[in-house]
Parts: sequence; structure tokens; C-alpha cells
Amino acid sequence: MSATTHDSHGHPRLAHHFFEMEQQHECAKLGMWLFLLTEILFFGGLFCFYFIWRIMDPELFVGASEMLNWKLGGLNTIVLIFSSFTVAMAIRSIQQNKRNACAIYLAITIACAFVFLVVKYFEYSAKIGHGTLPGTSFHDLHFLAEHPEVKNPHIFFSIYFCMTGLHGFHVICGIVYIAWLLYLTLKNRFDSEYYAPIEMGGLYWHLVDLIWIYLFPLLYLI
Amino acid sequence: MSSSNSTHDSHQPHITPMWVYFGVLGALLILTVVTVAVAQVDLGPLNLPVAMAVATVKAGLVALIFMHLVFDHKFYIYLLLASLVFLAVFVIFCLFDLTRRHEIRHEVAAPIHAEAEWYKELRIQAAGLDHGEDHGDSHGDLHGAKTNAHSEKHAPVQTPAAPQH
Amino acid sequence: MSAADSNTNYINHTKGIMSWLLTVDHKRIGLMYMIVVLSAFAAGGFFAVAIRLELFAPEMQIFPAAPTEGASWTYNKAFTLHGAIMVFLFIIPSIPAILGNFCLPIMLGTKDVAFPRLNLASWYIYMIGAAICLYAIFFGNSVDTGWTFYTPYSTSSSSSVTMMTFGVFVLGFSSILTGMNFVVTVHKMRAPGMGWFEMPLFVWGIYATALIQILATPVLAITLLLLIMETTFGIGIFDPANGGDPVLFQHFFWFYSHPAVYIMILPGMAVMSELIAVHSHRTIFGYKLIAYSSVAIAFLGFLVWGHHMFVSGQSEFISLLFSFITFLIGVPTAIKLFNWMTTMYLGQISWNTPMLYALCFMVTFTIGGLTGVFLGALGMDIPLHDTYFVVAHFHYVMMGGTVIAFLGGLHHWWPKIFGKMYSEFWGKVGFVFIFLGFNMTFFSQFILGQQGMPRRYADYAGFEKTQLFETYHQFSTVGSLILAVGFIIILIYLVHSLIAGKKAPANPWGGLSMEWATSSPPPAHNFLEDPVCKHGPYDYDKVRPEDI
Repeated sequence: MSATTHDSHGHPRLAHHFFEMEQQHECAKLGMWLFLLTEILFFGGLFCFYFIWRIMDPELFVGASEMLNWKLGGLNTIVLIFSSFTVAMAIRSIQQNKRNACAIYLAITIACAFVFLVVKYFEYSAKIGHGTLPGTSFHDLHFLAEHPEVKNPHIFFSIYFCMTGLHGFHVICGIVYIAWLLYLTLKNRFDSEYYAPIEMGGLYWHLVDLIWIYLFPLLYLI
Repeated sequence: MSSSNSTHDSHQPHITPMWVYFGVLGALLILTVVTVAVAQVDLGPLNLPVAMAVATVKAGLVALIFMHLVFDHKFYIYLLLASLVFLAVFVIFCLFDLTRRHEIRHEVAAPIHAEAEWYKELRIQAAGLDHGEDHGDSHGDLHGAKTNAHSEKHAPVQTPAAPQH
Repeated sequence: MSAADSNTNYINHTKGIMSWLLTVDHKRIGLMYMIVVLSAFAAGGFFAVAIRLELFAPEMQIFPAAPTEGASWTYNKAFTLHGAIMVFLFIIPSIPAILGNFCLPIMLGTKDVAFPRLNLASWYIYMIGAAICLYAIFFGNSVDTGWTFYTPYSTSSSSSVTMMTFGVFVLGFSSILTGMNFVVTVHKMRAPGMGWFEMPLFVWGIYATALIQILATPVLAITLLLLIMETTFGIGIFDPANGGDPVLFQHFFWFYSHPAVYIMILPGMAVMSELIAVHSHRTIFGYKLIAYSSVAIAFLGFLVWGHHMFVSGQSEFISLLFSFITFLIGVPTAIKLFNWMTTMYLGQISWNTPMLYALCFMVTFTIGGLTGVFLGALGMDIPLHDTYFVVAHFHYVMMGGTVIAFLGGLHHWWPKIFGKMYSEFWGKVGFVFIFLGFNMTFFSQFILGQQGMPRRYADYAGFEKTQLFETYHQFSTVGSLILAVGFIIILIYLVHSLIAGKKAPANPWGGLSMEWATSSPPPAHNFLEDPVCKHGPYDYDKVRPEDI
């Protein structure tokens, strides 16, 4: 049973169980917002991990966050903010039936996401090289020598790798999602009446940006 | 309302003007600079709240404008706030536990989050490290020693880690 | 309804296994859930019987005292699997995925849920999660940590904790997506004329449940993920050997698992409102209060998780706070109970099988709920924690509450789902076995617990009260066998009804909500014409069932 029909039911992309496109669009938007709420609670557990150790053991953060390169983190922040802008512009374009502009903006968004991942790759490989790893793999002796007062330094890096790792996984999923949206845009699937999937993709991408907006200062700066 | 209703959506979606998006982009970039600048100043216990406040302003701009919350039904804002409220309850109640455990447990010697046993070996190695050594050698030598410490750690833990202090 | 249409329904309009495995019809998906979820119930029940047989006498009879080469199936694994299978594979999906999927869209007068393909995806995710868990159980080393996976034992146990918890992680997504689907459907897809307060209370209950599913389950997901990280990488959050805090694991775990128990009971209460109103043929008393109380329970349920941790070593301050808030949840629950009782008063009560289950619910759930309040009192919980009193409490609410309500709902909507009537006589016989068996099994456990019998112990020889424990345990075991016979009786007559039952009319019970306005079983798109809501779901004083 196909979810869409091409009978006299209205727009060709109107699913059989909806009355009109607006209802379908509103359902998609509400559905994606509910999914974003689940992501907030999901990452929230990691933020709880962060805040508990921050309050119980502040020296851990002061010492260990020096190992993080704030310039690279700042670059990633700017890249993601810009990609949020481009995805918002993509939605704005398709609302006005400007299919090509939409595709270009989506492509730029994906490019920004790749830049983000490349920067993260450099950061991670530097850490691995120094032995600044999460958990029991931690063997950064230089850090231990320079910061003898920090106990359990691996926990900071556990927090760092878990939070940025999970965030990076969401970036990868976002790339796949937006790439698929780009493909469909180029296939003329969307128009000013039917663009809900792009709006959903935009909302998801903004959340990825939002989480990074918090991660950057909390991990890199303070 | 029948299924053969073919009148178009009378509700036109709100199309945000370009200048609003550019304005928010600019504001976000400026605020990022602010974030870094403010972090250079050591405010002691205020470091965390100030950083969170700046981040929240940025997040608010993204959520309200880029994600259209300010143009949509208020319901979506309530949803977002609801999830943040529950998250706050989670973190705050956990902190009520963690920060107040010592109140009736002062007779117990072991602190919360004592340092892991396997640091003993690592710290000895770190103390023996000459600061002028280059990275390549040190990692090569110690990798073998590290794997020993690693495998010791994985023996089943019978008793909790002894307190370090 | 034309004669040609009366024989085509959602079951027979397309044939072949692929038309089921690739369906996006919420009714078919509900049935697919029914098969797998009830199979899980049977598996969990199997472990339950094994536990009860082991406890029949003080020493070890069936399970070895410790795992050995040839006998790695320990008692610890039996109770862990009983709990994990029953909680994650049976009771959390049960009413929402089966009855919710089937009834909710029809009650709202719409053709399907908001995201039909996502609905099918939820089912497949459930199957994948279940497969991973089964793999851990039969091809891995199973799990012996208790269904709560407390650290540091779970991070150092030689059992397959990682694989099992990953399976549960996957199952969580099935729950989340179902919740999302229901919330959007209720918000955006009600039939014309149906406002929030013209919806059946079943929908309100499922809606409140869905809100919890969306907000709480992600925290379980991150908890299990962090547990896997701790076990694999030693990240140092939960395991004290790595600098972590084992009580923090409990906070993380129970932040989901307490709201999870409201995911279990709210759908049961949702079913109850339908059963009581329809079988008393009375307008429900206090519609808005019941509706709001569902949401209140959902909200308050997030604030009390620490009452599972009174003896864990958490701070005294937070224990007091949690204990205080726990008492508040009794209020909306009691409101529902009094409203149901008042609805029955001066009603024309039909003493049929669904109504008997509804009455049983009111008794057994009240016992369960009140004993929950006993345990919520900090002073009482200290001696009762980890005794059989707790086991009895949660079985009274989960089985005496949710399972009884589920059975009631199953019998209530069976004619609608399958178009067949079951034997009312055997329905009552099955009920008697269930009621008797259930109370024998679990009431004795209150006494066992209060007398000091610890939970999760298989060998209770050598205690001062061993003789006393043995007597009550034997009584409980006999009860559990009667309970098992009851379930088998139900299975037999229900399956028999599919083969040789009388054809069910569209509205066998005289209900007024929209599902009774369409044929039994419903057509593929639920209604032959798009319905319009013209009256409330319980307006027995204004509308006659024949006229809907």
C-alpha cells in the first residue's frame, strides 16, 4: 500500500491519510520537533555528566581543557553557524520555488559539514598521537607531568570524546540526510507547496548547530 | 471537510526576509567572538554561568529565528522549554545528591570519585619523564609498559579503589 | 454499508505474507505487534515459572549455586531475563503498540496514524532489538545483573551485558517513534468536530503515555550507551574503579525507569476508562479530571525517580525530597479511581468479561498503588527495600494493573479487531483462574517481604524464618501455576474464536466512540466515508448506541 496517491486527492505528494497539504506539513514539523526533543534529552545525559564533574571537580576542567585547541573549536563554531544560515536560506529559496538556489544552499551546507569533520579529524588524531584518550586508554604522560594536581584526567577526555563523538555522529547523519534532500531537490521533488522534508532537515541541522554552540565554550574555553 | 477539497492552503507560510537571516548570522559571529573574549577573563565561579549565558543567547537566536519559533505557534516554544525543564530537573536533582552526600557521611573516609588505581603506574612513568625528550621515543618506550598496566586493570575488581588522600 | 463491502476488511483485502510485512496499515501493524509482544510475554512467563519452581523449597533445586562449565544458567540469569524481557519486550510496548495502534486512529475518526511508514519502522526496530537481545541470551553469555544493570557489577560481569543493553537501546527507539507518531496524530488528525474534550479517554491516556515515551526514553538510551562505554573503554562515569560513581548510574537509569512505569500503567488506566464507561452504559464521571490527571501523572512521574534509591547511599536531602514528591502522585491516581467508581454508580452494568477485568483492576491496582505509597515513605522503605514486599508491590501494579487492563481491553476490542465473538462462559472461567492465581501468587509475597524474605535470593535455607518463608513460597508457587493455567485457557478460547467464533456485530457492547461506528473488523481505511464527530464518546444520555 503506497502512502501517496495520484488521484483527485490534491497535490501529487499528498499522502492518502491527510486531508490537505497544510495538515501534512504541520504533522511533519511537529514530528521533527518531537524528535529534536528526544535529541535534547539524549545529549542532556552527557551534559549531566559534564555538569556533575564540573561542580564536583573543577580542577579537572581547568587543567585538561588546555589540551583542546580553542582556535580549531572556534573555527568549527563559525563553520556550523554559517551552515545553519545556509540551510535556513535553502528553505527560504524553496518556499519561493527557487529550486536551483535551494540546491546550492544545501550543497554549501554539506560542504561546511565536511569542513567540520575534517577539523575534528585533525583534532582527534592529535589527541590519539599524544595518548590523550578517554577511559583506561589514557596514557598522556606529558599531561600528567605538567598537571600533577588533576586527578582522573581521563574523565575530562571521556566527556570530551563522548560529547564531540556523539555530536560528530549526528553531523555525519546530517550529511547523509541533507545529501539525500539535495538529490531529491535536483530531481524536482519539492516546490513551494511541498518542502516539508527540507524544513525537517533544516530543523535537525539547526539542532546539531545548537549543541555545538554549547559544547564549544563548555569544553574548549572555560 | 471532505477529501475532495481542492482549495489551496489559505495559510501562506511565513517567508523570513533576507535581512533578518543576515542580521542573525552577523549577530552569531559577533557573539562567538564575545564567547572567546569573555573566556579569557577568569571570573572564578562565574566562568560557567557567564559562558552558559552567552551560549544561550546564541542558541536563542538560532532557535527563534533560524528554526522559526518566533514565527510559529507558541506551542513549539512550550515544547522546547518543557524538555529543558525536565533536563534541568535531572541535572539539579543529581547535583542535590552529589554535592550533599558528605552531610551525613562524614564518618566515611572514602571520597567520591577517588582516583583510579591504574594512575599509580602512569604517574610513576610521568615522573620519570624528562621534559626535553621528544615525543616519538617516549611513546615508543612506554607503550609496552602501558599495556601491562592496562591488562592489570581489567582483572575483576573485588574491592573499591582505596582512597588516595 | 453495502453487501459487497461487508465481507472486505483490513485482514482479507490483500493476501500474502509480504502484504503484511510491508503494510503501513496501523491495524495490521497492531496485530503484528500482538503476535511478537505476546510471544515475549510467554518467554518472560517461562522464566517466571522457573523462578517460582526454584523457590518452592529453601535450597537450590533447579539452578546451580554458581555457574560451572556445564551449567551456566544461574538463578541470577533467570530473574534478570524475566525482568528484562517482561519490561522491555512485553509491558512497555503492550497496550500502546497493540491496542493503541489499532484503536487510536479509529477513535479519532482518521484513516491512519500521522506517519504510517514510521509505524512500520517501529515494528521492525522492535524486531531487531528483540533479535539482538535473543542473541545475547542464547549465543552470548546471557545477563545476570538484574534487569536494572547496576554498576559496578554490570561493568565487570562476564555476562553479555554489552550486547543485551545494546538490544534494549535499539528497542528504545521503537518506543520513541511510536510515541512521536501518537502525539502528532492526536494533535493534528482528529476528525472534524472532535476537539480535545470530545476524544475518548483512551486517547488521552495513550497521549500522556506517548509524552513520557518521547521525553524519558532518550535518557535510557544515553544511560545504556554510557554503560557500554564504561564497560568497553572504562570512561569513568559509573565504575568507581575508574573514578566514577555507581549511584550516578542509578540516577541515570531510574530517571527513565520511573517514568517507564507510568508508560506501563497509563495505558492500562486509559483502557479502564473505556471499559467502565461502556459496560456501565453511563457518561463517564469527571471527564476533564480524568484527562488532566493522565497528564499530571505523566508530569509528576519525572520528579520521583530517587524513591528507588533510598538505600543506595544518596544524600539524605534528596531522599527527603523524593519521598515528599512521591506522595503527590497518589492524588491524580486516586481521582481516576473515584471517578470510575462514581461512573459505575447508577449505571446499567453488564457483568461480562471485560467488566470483570475492569473490576479486578480497581481492586488489585489499588492494592499495588497503596503499597507503592508505603514504599515511598522513607522510613518504611529502609527495611522493605529489596524484599519481596517490593516484588509484590510492582507485580500488583504491573500485572494486577497493566496486564489485567490489557486483558480487559483485549476482550473488549477483540470483536472489533477480529470480527469474532469469544465464548463468554470461558471468558469468565479464564478470569477466575487469573484472579485467583494472581492474588495467591502475589499477596503471599507481601507477607514474605514484610517478614524479611530478600528478593533475588534462591537459597533461603538457614534463616530463622525459613520454615515460614517456605510455606508462603509454596503457596505463591501454586498460585503462579494456577495463573499460568488461566493464561493458557484464555489463549485457547481466543484462538478458538478465530476459527469457530460467532460473527461479531459492529457494536456488541453498545459503545459510542467512533470505533463502534464502523464494521467489525473495520475496512482497510477504517471508515467507508470520512466521519464527522457529532457527539461525545460517552454521551449515553443524548445518543443511543444504535444511532452512531
